[in-house]
Amino acid sequence: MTFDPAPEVEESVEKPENSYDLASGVVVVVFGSAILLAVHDYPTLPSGELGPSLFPGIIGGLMILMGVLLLGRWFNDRKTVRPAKAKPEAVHWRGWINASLIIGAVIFYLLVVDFLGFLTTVSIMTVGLIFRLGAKWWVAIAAGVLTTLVVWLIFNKVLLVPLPLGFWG
Amino acid sequence: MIDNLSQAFSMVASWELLLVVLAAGVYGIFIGSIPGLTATLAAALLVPFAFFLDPLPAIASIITMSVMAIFAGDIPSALVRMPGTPASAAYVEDSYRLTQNGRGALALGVGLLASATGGIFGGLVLIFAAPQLAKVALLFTSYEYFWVAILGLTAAVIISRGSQVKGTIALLIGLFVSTIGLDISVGFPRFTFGSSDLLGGINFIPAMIGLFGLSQVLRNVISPPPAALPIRIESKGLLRNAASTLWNYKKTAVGGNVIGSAIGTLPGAGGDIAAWVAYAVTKNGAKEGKNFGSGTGHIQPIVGASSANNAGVGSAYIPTLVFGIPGDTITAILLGVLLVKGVQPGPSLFDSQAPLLYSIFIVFIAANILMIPLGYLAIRGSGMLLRVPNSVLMPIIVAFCVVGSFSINNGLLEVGIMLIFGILGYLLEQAKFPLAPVVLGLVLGPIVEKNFMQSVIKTEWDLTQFLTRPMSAALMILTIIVLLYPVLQKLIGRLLRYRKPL
Repeated sequence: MTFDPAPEVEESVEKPENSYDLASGVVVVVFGSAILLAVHDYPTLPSGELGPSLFPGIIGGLMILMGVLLLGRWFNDRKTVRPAKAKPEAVHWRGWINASLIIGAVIFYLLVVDFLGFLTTVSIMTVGLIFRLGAKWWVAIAAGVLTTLVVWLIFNKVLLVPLPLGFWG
Repeated sequence: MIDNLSQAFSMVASWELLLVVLAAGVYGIFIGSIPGLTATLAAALLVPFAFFLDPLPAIASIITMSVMAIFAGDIPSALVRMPGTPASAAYVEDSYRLTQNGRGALALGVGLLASATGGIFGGLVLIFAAPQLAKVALLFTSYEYFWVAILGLTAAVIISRGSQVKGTIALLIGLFVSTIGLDISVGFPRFTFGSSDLLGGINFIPAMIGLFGLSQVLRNVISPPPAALPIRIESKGLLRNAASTLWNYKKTAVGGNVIGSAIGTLPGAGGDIAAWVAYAVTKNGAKEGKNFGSGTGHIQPIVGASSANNAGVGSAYIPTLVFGIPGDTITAILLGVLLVKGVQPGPSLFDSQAPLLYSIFIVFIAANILMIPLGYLAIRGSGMLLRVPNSVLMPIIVAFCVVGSFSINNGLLEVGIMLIFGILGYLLEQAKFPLAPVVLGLVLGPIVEKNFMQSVIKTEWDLTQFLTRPMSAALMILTIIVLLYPVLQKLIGRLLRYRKPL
C-alpha cells in the first residue's frame, strides 16, 4: 500500500516545472537576503535579546536555505530532465493580453473610482471585459450593467457599504 | 448539554439563517460545478458577505457552501472529465468513463449520497471528538499553542502534494507577509516602508480574495479550459439506484469516512488529500483495484474517495474550533472571519459559547441533509450549469473580487492588496508552488510568534520549557512524526507490499 497514488500526469510526461526552478530559486534567495538585510538593525528587547527581528530573521534564513535547495535540485536535474519540448501550442498572445486587461481593469478601478463613482467605473470594467473575452456586444452590455447593479444593490443597499459615488454624489 | 442544545436549536431556527444557508448552498453548488473554480475561491468570495452577518449565519454560510461545493465538484468530472474542485480530482477518470458507458447518473448519484453520508460522519466525529479534545486543550499554555501551530505548519508542508521544498517556500511567503506591521513584542513597525496604512498588517481577507479569486481568473483567461459539451445523463430512478449501490459498498464507504475524518483532523490537510488517500486505500483493498481509472469505469473508488472528501470537510473543523489552528484552507478563511467577528476559537469556546458551538454542529448535519435535494436538482440541471460562458463569468468574478476587498475596510488599499496577491498567486501556481501553505502561514504566523515570544519573555529565554513540559513534549513528538511522514510512508508501503504480494 502506498499512500501516494497520484503520479501527476503532467509530471510524468514531461517536467515543465523544472524550468521555473532556476528563476524561483534565485528570487527566493534574493528575497530572503533582503529580509535579513532589513531586520539586522531592528531594535532588541529591553533585556537585550532579539525581539522584532527574530521571527522575520528565521523566515529570511530559511528562505535562503530553501532557495539554495531549489537551485541545487535544478542543477542536478538540468541534464536528466528533458527541456520542455517546444510547445506546439502557439504563444497565447490573446491570453496574455486578456490577463493584462484584467489587471488593468483593477488598476483602472483604483485610479478612477473616487472620481467616476462605483456604478460608472464597474459598468465600464465589466462591459469592457465581457466584450473583450468574446461575448456579443449586447450580451456584454446587458450582463455588465446587470452585474454592476446587482453588486451595487447587495453591497450598498443590503450590506450598507458606502461605495464611492464619485461626481454623481 | 440539553440546555445548550435547546438554546442552539432556537438559534438555528430563524428565517434569516435558513435563507442564508439555502443561498450559500446554491452558490456552493454553482461554483463547485464549474471546473477551475475551487471551494476555496468560493469561500474567499463569500467572506465579504459573511463579514456583515452575525457570527452564526456567517459560519453557517461558509459551512454549507463548502459542503455543497466539494460534492458539486463531482459533476463536471462525470460530464466533461474536468474536476470541479481539486477534491474530486482523484476519481475523475472513473466517473467520466462511467458516464461514457451510460452510467453517469449512477456515478453522480452515488457521489451525492456518499458525500452526504461522509459529511454527516465527519460532522459526528466533530461533535464527539471536539469537546473531548477541548478538555485537553484547556490545559494548554503558550508553549503548547506554539507547538500546535508548528504542527499545523509542518503538516501543511509535508502532507501537501508536490515538492516539499516548494511547499516550505510557499509557507515562508505566508509567514513573511504575516510579519508586516507592528511587531508584537515591542511594537516596532516591520516592513511598512514608512506607510501608516500598513501598521496594522496586511488584511487577510483581500489577500485571500486575490490569491484564490483573481489568480484563478488570470489563469482561466491565459489558458482557457477547453470547451467541452457535457454529455446528457438520464436521471430517472437516480437516488434509488445510488442508494442500493452505496449499500453494496458500505465497507468501502465507511473506510472512506474514517480516512477522511482522520486526515481532515490533521491541521493543514483537508478534503483534497483525504480523497487521494482514500482512493489509494480503496484501490489497494479492491479485487479489481489495478483496473481503477481505466476500462468502463468503476464505482467503488468513487464511493471511497467521495465519502472521504466530505468527511474531511467536517473534521477539518476540529483543530479549527478546538485550537484555533485551521484544518484546511477553507477553515483558515473561516478562522479569519471568526477573529474579525470577535469569536476567539479555542477551548474556551466550548465553555463560554457552547450554544453557538452546538448551533454550528446542527448546521453541519443539516447542510449535509440539505445537500441531497439540492444536489439532486444540480445533477438534473447539470447541463445548464456547465453552459455558463467563461467570457461572462470571469468579469463578474473580477467585479466581486474588487468590491469584496473594498468593502472590508471601505478603502482602496485592500483592492491593491487583492491585486498584488492575485498576481502572486498566479505566478506561484505557474511555477508549481502550492497555494494552501501560503494561507496557513499567513494565519498561523502571528500565533507562532506570539506564543513563542510570550513564552520566552515569561521565562527569560529558558527554552528547555518547550521540551520538558509533558504536553509540549508530546506535541513535539507528534510534529516529528509528521516530519518523518514521507519516510514512514515508504516504509509502511514496503512492509505491506512485502506481506501481501499482489
